[in-house]
Amino acid sequence: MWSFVVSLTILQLPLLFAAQCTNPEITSLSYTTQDGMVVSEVAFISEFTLECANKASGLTLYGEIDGKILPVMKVDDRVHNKYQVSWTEEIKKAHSGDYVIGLYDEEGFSNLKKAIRGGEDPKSVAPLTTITVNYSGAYLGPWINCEFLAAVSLIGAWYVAFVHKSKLLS
Amino acid sequence: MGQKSRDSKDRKDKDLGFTKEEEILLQDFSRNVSTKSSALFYGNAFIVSVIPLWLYWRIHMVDVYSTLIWFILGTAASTYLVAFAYKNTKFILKHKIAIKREEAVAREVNRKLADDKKMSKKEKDERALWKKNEVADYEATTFSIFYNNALFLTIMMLFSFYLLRSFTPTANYLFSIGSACGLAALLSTGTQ
Amino acid sequence: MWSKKLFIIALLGLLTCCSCGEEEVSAARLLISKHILNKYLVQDMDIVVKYTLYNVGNVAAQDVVLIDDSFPTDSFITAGGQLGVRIDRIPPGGNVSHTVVVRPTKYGHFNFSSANCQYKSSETAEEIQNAISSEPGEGRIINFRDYDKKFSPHVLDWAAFAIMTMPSIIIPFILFWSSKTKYETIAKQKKEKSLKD
Repeated sequence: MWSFVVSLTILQLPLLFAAQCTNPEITSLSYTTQDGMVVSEVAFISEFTLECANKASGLTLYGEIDGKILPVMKVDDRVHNKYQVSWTEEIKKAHSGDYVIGLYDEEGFSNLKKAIRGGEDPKSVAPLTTITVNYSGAYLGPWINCEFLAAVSLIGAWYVAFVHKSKLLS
Repeated sequence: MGQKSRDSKDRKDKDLGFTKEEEILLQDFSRNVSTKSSALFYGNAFIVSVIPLWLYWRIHMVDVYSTLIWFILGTAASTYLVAFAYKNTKFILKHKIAIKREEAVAREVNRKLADDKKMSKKEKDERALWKKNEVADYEATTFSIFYNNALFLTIMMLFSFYLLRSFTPTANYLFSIGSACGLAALLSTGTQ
Repeated sequence: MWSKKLFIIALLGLLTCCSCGEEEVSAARLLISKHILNKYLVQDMDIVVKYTLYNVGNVAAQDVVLIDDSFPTDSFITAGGQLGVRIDRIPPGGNVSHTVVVRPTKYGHFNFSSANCQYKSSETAEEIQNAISSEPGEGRIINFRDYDKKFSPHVLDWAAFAIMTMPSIIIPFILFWSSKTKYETIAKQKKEKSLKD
C-alpha cells in the first residue's frame, strides 16, 4: 500500500515540476557528420541544457523543424534539464547552412498540433525557444578529379603535337 | 654507325669515287641512325616506359613484387616499340623539314662563312648541305620524341583509367602499355 | 454426468472470460529498431546509429529509457549524442527516433548487438517492461590506412606523375621549337629582303 502511494507520488513529481519555463536559456552543443563518403545519411545532433529563471526542470519538450515534429529525449542523468534532439537526412537532400529547431513545452506543443491539424502556419505558434544547428556540408570527394585533369592535359599536349606534325607534313 | 660510314666512305672514294655530297645524301636517305641518336631514342623510350609504373604502383595499388616480371617485360617491349616509333617518325619528318629549312640554313651558313675567302663555293655548299642535314636531323629527332611521348602517354592514360578501368591491375598494365606502344609504333609506320 | 457437463461449461466460460478480459486490457508495446546508416565502417570515422521506437500498443508508453551498452568504451568513442536517453511518453501508434554518432578506435570484426529498453506499459502500471532492439549484426571495420589508400584522391601522386612527364614532353618540344623559330625568322628575313629588292 505504502509502496503504491510512494510510487504514485513519484509519478506525480514530474508533473509538479512541469511548470511553465520562464526566460529559457539554452546552452547547446551540436554535432553533424562531416564526411559524406562513409555514411549513407547525415546525422544532426544537438545536446542542450535548458535553464529556466523559475528553476523549472524535468519538462517534456518537443521539437519542430520545417513542419516536422522532432522528439526531444531527456539525457539520462541526475540532472533534469539536459536534452538531446536529433534527426537524420539523406546526403543529397541535406543543404548546408543553419537549421533552426523550435522547442515547445507541453502546452505549446498541443497548440502547435492544433495549428498543423487546422492547416495553419506552424510558425504562428511561438516556440518556447529555438536552437540552431549549423551544417557545413559533407565531404563528398575532391572537386577536381585528378585523372580527368591529367587526361585532358595529355590530350591537349598530343593535340598540339598533332597540329605541328600536320603542318610539317603539309 | 658514324665511324663505320666514314671508313666505308674512304674505301668507296678510292674504289667508286663517291663524292662527299653523295655520301651525305646516301646517309640522308638511309633509315639507319647514328649510335648517338640510337642511344637518345632508347634512353627516352625507356624513361617514358617507366613513368606509367609509378601510376600503377601508387594509384592502382598493384603489388609490385608479384607483378615485377610483367613490369619488366612490359617496359622492355615498350622501350623497343617506342624507339621504333621514334625512328620511323623521324625518318618521315626529316625530309620535309629539310626541304623547309634549306634556304634558311644555306643563308645562315653563307653568312657565317662569308668572311672565309679560302673556302671554295663547292665546299661552302657542302657545308650548307651538311648543316641542313644536321638541323633537319635535330629537329626531326626532337619532334619525333615529343610527338611519340605525348601519343604514348595519352593512349596509356586513356586505356588505363577509362577504358580498362574494371580490369585487374596486371591485365590493365599489359593491355594499356601494349596498346599504347603498339599504336605508337603502328601509326609511325604510316606514310602520313 | 450433468454436474460434469456443467463443470466443463463453467470452465469454458471462465476461460473465455479470461481471454476476453485479456483482450480488453490495453497496454503499450514498443518495438525498437537499431540501424547503422553507413556505407562503410572505417576506423576513426563516423558511424551513424539510428534507433526508432514504435509504439504498437493502444496505450501510450511511459518513462521509456533507452540504453545502448553495446559499444565498449575502449573500442568506441561517442562523437555526438548520448547512448542513454529517456522519453517521457510515446503515444500509441507513434514513433520516436534517436540518433547517435560513434567512432570506432579499433578495426576488425565487430558484432553490433541490441540496445536495451525499459518502459511502463501504461500510466498506472508498476512493472517495468524490458525490450531489446533489433541487431544490426556483424560488421567489419576497415583500417583507416587501407580506406585512405583506396579512396583518397592521390593528389600528391598525380602531382608527381605530372612532374615526371613534363620533362619528357616539354623538353623535346622546347628544343624543336627553338630551332624551328630560329630558322623560320631567318627565312622570313630573307623573304622580306627579297621582297624589298
